[in-house]
Amino acid sequence: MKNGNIELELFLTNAAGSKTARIIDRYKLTSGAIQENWALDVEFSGGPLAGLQELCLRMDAPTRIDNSRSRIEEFAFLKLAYENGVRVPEPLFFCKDKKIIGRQFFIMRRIPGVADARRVTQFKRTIDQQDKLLFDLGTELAAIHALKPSGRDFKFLKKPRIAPALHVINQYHAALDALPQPAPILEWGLRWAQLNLPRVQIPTICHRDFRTGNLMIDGNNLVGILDWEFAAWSDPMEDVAWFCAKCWRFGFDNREAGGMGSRTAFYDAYEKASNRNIDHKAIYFWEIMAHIRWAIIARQQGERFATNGEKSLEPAMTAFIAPQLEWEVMRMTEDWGK
Amino acid sequence: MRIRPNVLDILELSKEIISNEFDDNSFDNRRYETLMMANAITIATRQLKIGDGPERKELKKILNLINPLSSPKASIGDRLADLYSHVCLEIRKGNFDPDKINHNELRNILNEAALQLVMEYNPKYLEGK
Repeated sequence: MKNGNIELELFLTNAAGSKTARIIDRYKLTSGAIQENWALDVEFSGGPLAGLQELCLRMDAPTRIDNSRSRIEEFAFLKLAYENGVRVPEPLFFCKDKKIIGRQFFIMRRIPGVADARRVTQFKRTIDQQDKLLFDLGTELAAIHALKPSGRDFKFLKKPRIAPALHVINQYHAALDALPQPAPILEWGLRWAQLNLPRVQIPTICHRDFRTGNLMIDGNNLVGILDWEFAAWSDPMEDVAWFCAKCWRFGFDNREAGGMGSRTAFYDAYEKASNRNIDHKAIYFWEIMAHIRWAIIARQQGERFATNGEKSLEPAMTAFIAPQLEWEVMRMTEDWGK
Repeated sequence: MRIRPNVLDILELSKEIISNEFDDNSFDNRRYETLMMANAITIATRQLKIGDGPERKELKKILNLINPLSSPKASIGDRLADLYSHVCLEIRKGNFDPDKINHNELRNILNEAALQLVMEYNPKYLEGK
């Protein structure tokens, strides 16, 4: 973020309807591999936010990932979720003016807790505490799947005309075509997917990145669901599978629900709150797709350095996660039906 | 076929970071970057030790599977990339589907290639599997 504290303070003053807004402290938050998040401590004088407020500024990274939403679209989803009682940070203001800090951004309240997946999964919990957390997560996911976007804010949102699985396969083929290096294992996985499509579900609003690492957790409590940049219509089983996929368990493979606990606790809560049955075959399908998707993203991240010359170690090194994901794709497609 | 980017380019970037970013006052960030650099060095060392034997073997198998399109003058990595581009098109067309004669042969090649890359990039992942 550029130095523009004065411009940012002016923006905050006007957006909050206050007399002044003074930034007391700001620092980059470590979460957000694709977007940049900054903590802002702001002292407002007058207006509804008068006093010290702990805020978060979310802005685009220099390079965008395919199919990720613009900040204004993400802001619309965040507002919809907040207004419908989903646990998310309260969205406050959106700034279209790129002159303020160099890119578009939005401001939301900062919420307590930890998103860091390793810390979240390594935190010691009893079985009851795990089950309670997974109950909350299953219930919240069901609430996301009940969202009904409408109106001008969601003009950008198109329902796919084909089954979500086919739509996603097409998207991934397009992503592979855009990469400079062939990825035969991912092609193999996508062909397997075309030949083993799941039963079509009614398209539902899905978060599409609901996983450990994007969930703000305070000890044993779910505080908020972050990172709505991939939200879209899809098959609800895609979200369930993304959360449970092995690639998002951070080494705790025996805790199949996000590295935090049992699938049963998560599934039960989800089924009860959504009034929808878990389709186990579809989950297996979408877990293979999860590994394919993550491998594509890993390779795309590597290209930020290899092709675009972005001098950042994290995306460059992310590419090297692809081999283990691709190995899982081979293993899982072979195990299908066994 | 090894994954882009070339790990040696990352070592070059690491060198730049080490020399340019010592004014970074965020200890956590520096620690994280140092761990990533150490990982890049580990992968590069592993690849140097392994050499291009596995890629040569992979190339030979792929050449047995499909008609060669690539120039023999190109590097092994480039030839593999050419051949795999062709393989990808054929997979997408369904020419390696389970009912096709070469299905099992390609599956075995890909299984082996996948395993080889995990052994190069993150052998710990295979522990206990």
